This record gives sequence, structure tokens and C-alpha cells, in this order.
Amino acid sequence: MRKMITIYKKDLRLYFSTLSGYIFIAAVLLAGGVYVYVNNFYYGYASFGESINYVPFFFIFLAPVLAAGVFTDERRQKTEQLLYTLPLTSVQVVLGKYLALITVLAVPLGILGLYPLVMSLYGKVNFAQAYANLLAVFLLGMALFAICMFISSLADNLIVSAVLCLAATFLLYQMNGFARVFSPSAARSYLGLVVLAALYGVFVWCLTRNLSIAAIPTAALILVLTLVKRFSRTLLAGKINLMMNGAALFKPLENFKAGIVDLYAVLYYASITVLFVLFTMFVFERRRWN
Amino acid sequence: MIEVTSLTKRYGTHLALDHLSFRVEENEIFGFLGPNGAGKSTTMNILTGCLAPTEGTARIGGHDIVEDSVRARELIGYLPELPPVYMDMTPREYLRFVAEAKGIARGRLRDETERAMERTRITDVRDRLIRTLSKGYRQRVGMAQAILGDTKVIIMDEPTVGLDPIQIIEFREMIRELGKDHTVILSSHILSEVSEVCGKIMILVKGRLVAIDTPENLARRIGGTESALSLEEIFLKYVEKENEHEEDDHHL
Repeated sequence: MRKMITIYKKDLRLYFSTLSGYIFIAAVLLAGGVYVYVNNFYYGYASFGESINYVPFFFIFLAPVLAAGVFTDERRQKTEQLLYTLPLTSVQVVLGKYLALITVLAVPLGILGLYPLVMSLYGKVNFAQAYANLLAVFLLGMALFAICMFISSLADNLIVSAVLCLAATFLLYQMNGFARVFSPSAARSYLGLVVLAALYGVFVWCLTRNLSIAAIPTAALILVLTLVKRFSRTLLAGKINLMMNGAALFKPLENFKAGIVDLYAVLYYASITVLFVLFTMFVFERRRWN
Repeated sequence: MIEVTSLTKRYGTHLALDHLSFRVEENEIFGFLGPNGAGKSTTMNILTGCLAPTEGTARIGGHDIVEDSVRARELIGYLPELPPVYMDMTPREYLRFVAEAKGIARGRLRDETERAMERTRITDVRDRLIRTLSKGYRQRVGMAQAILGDTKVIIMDEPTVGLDPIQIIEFREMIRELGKDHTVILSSHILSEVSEVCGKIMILVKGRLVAIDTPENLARRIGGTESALSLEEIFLKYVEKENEHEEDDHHL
């Protein structure tokens, strides 16, 4: 525990001794401030929650600013070797780093959390709706940070990491739209699922760097899909859209707009977060021995 | 203190280390000598838990570096070729971080970091950002990191590369000083360096151990009269011998 806090403090210190922490906080505050000003003050619209619900759009660019460098910076400065030689476990290093990330995320959201209190001095504020939305934004940020941290554990340098993080956050943001325009026919679904199976293979290879562990299940998956397609005309129809909807990370955000804490969405974000933090630990440990 | 048995590392088909076995006793200064690509850094990375051996074992103070990795790493301080320092920290902050990560008790943190800074003579720059320090000072900060805490074994990969002659002399002095109460391993392809500070030398060529002895005995073994041969000549003879072996193998 103490060693995890050591890593946590070190990373937090570095976020604030360089500009990245300040840039992130300032940008989130600016985005939140603009939306609140335009929606609530300029147009006189009463819902703070909805204004805050727009902020995650900026996470597409802002999550990579902070999280793309989590591991690539250590690699660039050759300090990764230090982390490996010190008597620390992968769990301590990865958790410490992740907690530092979401602490920086919590700072601007905490400040935005004061707005409803201030507003309540001048009128009636729907607190449930305001804080449900703030919670949703935080949960989405946690999931995005976990995904970006994972990408940074795989990438060898900051540029590659940043581009991949940006591509990932953008894709996840657009996934909802893609799912809608993608034809649900069985043939299209088959094609989409084959691509997905191939992506799965690439993902497993990234994790393990073992060709047979990655290739064999992928080949089996594609074989099964092909067989299903041959024997049933309709079974695959619409399945790819279902998968794409599952990956539409920004979509559950909508459910909070009305002021309801959607338990399904909370679990969805929490499981993505846990999964990607675990993946990162796995990659960090594997890289030690390679 | 360090026991290496039949250590082998393969990268694909390339054999980087070939069944390497040696022992390093307590408070000994031990030198790895060999041309570039001989496997010096690979051996050090395995000993410090940054790399897994393909075969064989390495034990530090009785703890296996793979099986009992955290306990083994508690005994080790490592100074890689490039000092692993955070440019945006001051030496004081950096050393405090390392000390905490090494699990030094809270009450001893201050004393331990002060002691390491004094031993490596960086006390006067402790509040400057590391990015503003010269290469020599950064190297010393890296060294201070390595000796912090209850470190018993200090491993240094080409510690004097890129330093000026005065810094090299100072660094050697520091290594000799540390050797009094630590086991020190250092690698180099600069021969005079190892002969001056090391009590024992291991010569590696292409991942194979070709000789291990004191500098004096190495000279005696090859040249007959120890005074006639410098270490440079000994080293070249060993490398030549090894290359001849290889050519013989090819002819066969």
C-alpha cells in the first residue's frame, strides 16, 4: 500500500511540475464553464446536469494529453528500468499510476461540482440531476483513462501512443453513430465480425506477443463464423450492430441526463475500467521479462 | 552473495548468453569485461530483474531473481548505462521517491537520503532540477539512487562512459569506497578501469565466459611474466583465442 502511494505521489508531482496536469484541468474547467455559461446563463436553461453532460466530448482530446504518456514517458527517460529494478510489484506501479491519473480527473470535476451549490443561492437547482451527471462524466473519464493508459503501456513512444489514444477515444465516441448506419444484413454482419475477430487476434498478440495464442483462437472464431453463415441465413443478422453498441462508450451517458443513476451504466464503466487496468498490469509484467 | 548457474539467454536464434556460471563473494568488486555485444548488459539486466533468462538461475543473497523477485531486488541497487532519473525532479525529491519505493522506514528517509547525497557528493545541487545538471552530476544522482537503503549489491553498467577525466577519477574513488561495505559489479570495455578497481575480472566474449580470475593471475596465465603484459594485451589475446576457436568450428 505504502509503495503504491509512493508511485502515486511521484506521478502526481510530475503532472504538476510539467504543464500536462494544469492543461487538463484548465481545459475541462473551460469546457464546463462555457457550456454552463451558454446553456444556463445565456439561454436561461435550468438544467446544470445537461450542460455538464456535454463536457466528455472534450475527453476525446484531453484524455490522451494526460494518459498517453503514462508509460511512454518512463520509457523515454529510461526510468522504466528503475521501476523494474526497485522492489515494486506490477500491481503497485500500475495502480499508483492510475490513481494519480484519476486524481487529476477529479480536480476539475470537483470544482465543477461547486457550481450547483453556488447556483442554488440564486434559484432552484435540481441537485439529483446535477450530481448524477457529474458522476457519469467521472465514470466515463475513468474508463477512458484506463483505456489510454493501457495503450501507453503497449506503445514505444509518445507520438505513437498519443495517435493511438486519440484514434481509440474518437472511435469509441463515434461508435454509436457507426452502429446506426451499418447495414444489419447477415453478409455485412459476417464481414464485420470477421474484422472484429482479426482485431481480437491483434489485441491478444499485443498482450502476449505469442503468435500461436493469438492466431489459433482467432482462426477458430473465423471458422465458426463462416460455418454459421453457411448454415443459417439469419442468425448473424444485426449481431455486429449489437457488438458496436456495446462498444459505444459515450452512449450510456445519455441515460443520466434525466437525473437517474443508471446502475447498468455504472457497472458498464466500472467493468471496462477494471478490465483495462488489469490488462495494463499484465502488459507491464510481460515487458519486464522481455 | 551472487550465484549464477548456467545462465542462458536466447533472442530468437541469436544466443546472447551461453551457459554462464559464476559467483561473486561479499564485499568484492567484480568486473565484467568484454567487447560490445558480449552479453555484459544482458547479464546485468537479468541480475536486476529487468529480463528473464531462457535457462539457468541467478540468486542474489539466496533469493532467486525470478521466483523471489521482490526480495532479491530489495538487495540490489542498479545504475544502468543511462542514469534513470526524472528530469523534472530535484535530486532531493528523486531520492526521496526511490527511498520510499525501496521501503525505507519513514523516520529514516531523511537521514538515508542525506547520507547517499553526501557519499556521492551531490549535496550542493540537491535542490536544482535534474534537467539542469551536467552529465557527471546526473550520473552521481543515479549512483546515489543505487546505494540508498539496505542495498547489499551495486550493479553498474559502464558507469564512466561520457565522463571527463577528472570525473572518471572521482568516480573510481567512489567505487573503491563503496566496495568496502558493498558487493559491486561493474561492466566496462575500458580495460584500465576494471584493472584498477576490480579484485576479480570476468572476460565475456560472444555470450561465453572465457576467463575469470584476479587481474594478476590472468596476466600470469597467458603471458608467463605478469609484468610484461598489460591487461589490454591479455584481453586482446583472449578475444583472439576465442575468435580462433570459432573459426576452427567453422572449418570443421
